[in-house]
Order: sequence, then structure tokens, then C-alpha cells
Amino acid sequence: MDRKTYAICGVIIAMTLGGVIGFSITIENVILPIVAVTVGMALLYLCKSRVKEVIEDERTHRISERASRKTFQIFTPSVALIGVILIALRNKYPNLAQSGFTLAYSVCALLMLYNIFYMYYNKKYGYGPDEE
Amino acid sequence: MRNKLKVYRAMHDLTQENLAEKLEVTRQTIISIEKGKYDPSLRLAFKIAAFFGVKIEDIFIYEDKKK
Repeated sequence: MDRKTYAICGVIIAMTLGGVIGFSITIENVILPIVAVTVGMALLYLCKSRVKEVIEDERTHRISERASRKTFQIFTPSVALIGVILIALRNKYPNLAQSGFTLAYSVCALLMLYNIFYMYYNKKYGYGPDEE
Repeated sequence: MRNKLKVYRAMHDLTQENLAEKLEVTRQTIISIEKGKYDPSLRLAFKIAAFFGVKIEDIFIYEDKKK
């Protein structure tokens, strides 16, 4: 399989997944999206393993790292701010408070996960007592 | 950082696609290095130098950006 075919497979899988998730929301089914996402991921992995060309290398990894970092830097404070605003408005709009708390807890979980990975990679890449 | 990758590739009569295949990277990476838009890792830089049988500094020339 070449890179182009892999890209087409990816688009088809993503579109099918979108359709299935949309359908499962309509019929209020919880199991269907879980199964669909699992099957989709397995299919994508299968397609990727059949690609003979190099589709990922250090440059794509570096781009991905930078994109993730920027996304994190923008997304985290934005969502935290929206969460705080929604919580602050709880007396005026009581039904928005729950969304505010959900956003705030999500940001907390994200920061916790970030710190765990930061500590892990910091240790992996040599943080420790000085040697003489 | 400047580099002479394009020169060495031409000297060995290789296309970007061929070189990418031999170095196990994407063609876009070779293009980006040649254009000076991407500085390869030390590992890839050594791999490139070893592939052409030269020293790393023969291909890659360090330039301080502040200057």
C-alpha cells in the first residue's frame, strides 16, 4: 500500500466513524460508538502496517510535538477561563455551572497528565543528582 | 545551519526520493533539509554523513543565528 491509498483509507475510516457516532447519538446507543472507535483504530493500524513507504520520521514527530505544545498552551488557559466564567455566573445561569465545573475538572486532569508525563520524560532524559 | 546536501546528492546522482528511501525518512524531510528549513537531529546528520562517506562538518555548516 502506498501513502496515497493510506490517506484515502484514513479519510474513509474517519467519515464512517463520524457517521456511526452521529447515528449512535440519534438512537441513544452507548456501545455502538465504543465498538466503532475500537474497530476504526484497529483498521487504521492495519492500514498503516501495510504501508511500505516511510510515512513518519523525526521531522513529522517534531512537527507533531510542536503542534501539541501550541495546542496545549492555547487550549488549557482558554478552557480554564471559560470554566471559571461559567462557574462565576452560576447565580445568574444555574444550568451553566455544571458545564463550568466539567471544563475546570477537564483542565485539572489535563494538567495532571501533563505533569506526570513531564516527570517521566524528565527522568528518562537524565534528570538526577549531579555526578562528579 | 547551512548544508551541502543537494551538492552531495547530485554528486552521487541520487533523486530526493532515492535518498529518502536509503535514509528511511520521508521525501519531504530531504526537501526541507536542502532548503534549510529543517535542521536534522544529530542522529540523522551522522547517518547522512556516513551514507556519503564524509565527515558531518563536510555537509553541515553551523552558523550562529545571532551573528
